[in-house]
Amino acid sequence: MVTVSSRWVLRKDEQGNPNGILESNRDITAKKEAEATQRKSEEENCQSEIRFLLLIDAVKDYAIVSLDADGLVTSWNSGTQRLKGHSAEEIMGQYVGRLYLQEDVERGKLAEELRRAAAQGHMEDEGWRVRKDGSRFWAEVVTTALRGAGGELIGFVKIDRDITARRDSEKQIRELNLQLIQQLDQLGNVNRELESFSYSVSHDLRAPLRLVDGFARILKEEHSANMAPEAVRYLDRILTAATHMGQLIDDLLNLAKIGRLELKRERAQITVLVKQAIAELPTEAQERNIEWWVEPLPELNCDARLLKLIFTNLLSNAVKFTRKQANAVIEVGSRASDGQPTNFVRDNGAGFDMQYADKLFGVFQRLHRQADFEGTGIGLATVQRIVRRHGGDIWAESQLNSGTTFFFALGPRSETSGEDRATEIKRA
Amino acid sequence: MLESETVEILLVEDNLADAELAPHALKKSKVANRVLHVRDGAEALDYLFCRGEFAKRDEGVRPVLVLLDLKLPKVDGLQVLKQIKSEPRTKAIPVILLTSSKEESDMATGYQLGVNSYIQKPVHFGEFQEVVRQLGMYWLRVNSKPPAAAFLHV
Repeated sequence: MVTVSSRWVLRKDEQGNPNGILESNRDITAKKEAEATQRKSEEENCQSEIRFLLLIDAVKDYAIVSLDADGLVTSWNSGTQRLKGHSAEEIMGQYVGRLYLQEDVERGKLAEELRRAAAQGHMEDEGWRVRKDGSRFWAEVVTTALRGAGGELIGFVKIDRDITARRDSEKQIRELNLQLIQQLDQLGNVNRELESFSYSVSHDLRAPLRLVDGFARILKEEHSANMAPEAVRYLDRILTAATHMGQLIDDLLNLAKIGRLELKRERAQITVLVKQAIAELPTEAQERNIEWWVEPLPELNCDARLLKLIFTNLLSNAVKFTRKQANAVIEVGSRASDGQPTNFVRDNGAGFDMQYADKLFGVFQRLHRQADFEGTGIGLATVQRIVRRHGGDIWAESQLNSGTTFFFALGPRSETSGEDRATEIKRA
Repeated sequence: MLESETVEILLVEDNLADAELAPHALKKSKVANRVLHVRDGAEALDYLFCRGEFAKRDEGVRPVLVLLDLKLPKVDGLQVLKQIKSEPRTKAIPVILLTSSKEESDMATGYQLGVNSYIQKPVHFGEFQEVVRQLGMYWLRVNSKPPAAAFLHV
């Protein structure tokens, strides 16, 4: 579509009779459009100036102040009033130094700020500013020099923001971080001390024990002929206690060692580990009539030596606690729960009362009498430590007189990739 | 105290009760009867290098075997070992570390310094007796002692 201006001229023949109309049209679209654009842009300019002023005044979190070339205040938004407390009437025409610390003005800090803004066109700073009531806040400040068409300095615009809270919280975060680092450091030290303590205790406890055991044995072997039967019985008590303490020390030493060991993860064939662990169990396991069910287990990315130790502990527990069972059944298997392989060791032995389940993994905690089932109460603590060092978890379900199942999952880092699992399932 | 001429084993051990157990085991299994017990590292070195109270002893007579504990007063076991193994006069004497420690760093240092054997004392006396019997059998009977030429100054 075009806009045109038209002229009509009546045409006549030689006799002066009208014989037609001549129409001449001129396209004036461009002219019309230019006029409209100019009107529109004038309106827009006016509107945008109003909007800009409103906008500046609506800015609550920033103090926006304009100064003349001498540093006297020429405009003041409501953010400034909010931030600094002075009303526009109070501050207009005043020297901007009223918003600064007295000493900053005296030391020439403010003058330097304006000088640098004038020289560079722009200047950023952080520092203390003063409110009307004399209180201070930490401000982030941008000062911009304003220049006229001829390049002469006509003044400055200063935009301030109160970042006291941010500064405080940054300071707090720094302090908290420092505290955290110190606490971690202390924790590391305590841990190291504890480990070296338990290690040396275990060693130093061995020496006197060897003497107790040694002399008691010499007494029994070489002098029991001259002793009352009761005295020989007491000697046996001493020897049994010494043996038990020896076991306690060895187990404690193991537990301490596991805390110090570096995990060496590798892809481990768990089924093979379990079979090795069963073959190496004490002779009781081979001599008794135990029914073993071992399912194929998925490979795990773990420390194979430690994993074997888990199974050795859980399996010898199972052997021990099925001792009074005529048809002992010990089962090893795996289930996927939440996509993670969870291994289990199940027996149909003595079981325990679930109300004591929380004591199960504590060092020296035992749920059975020494006379019924011997033990040091360190085995399961060791197992739990291994599982936790792998980032996993262990738990048990049990019923008195019908058996116990231990479950453990090693955590996400212990899985081999999905592809390998698939081939493994096929193989299984 | 035994006449130094008759010493088969020099036992370096600060604990008196411990020092009684090893000779008991050796005597019982009839492997060695002549064990000299010294109670710290300094005394052991005095004996081996004929110093102090051992100044008058015949330097040409040496123990067949040194049984050395690690944790000793004054001069510790590894220091004693180091001095024995760095002196041509004593270097060839077999030294066995017989200790409660299975600390890897102790074992590594011991072997680096040239110890001939490192044995952790078993807690059970029965096992301890057996270990002492075996080592006595091996070093006093099976093994050929270093000849005098092995101790010549180079």
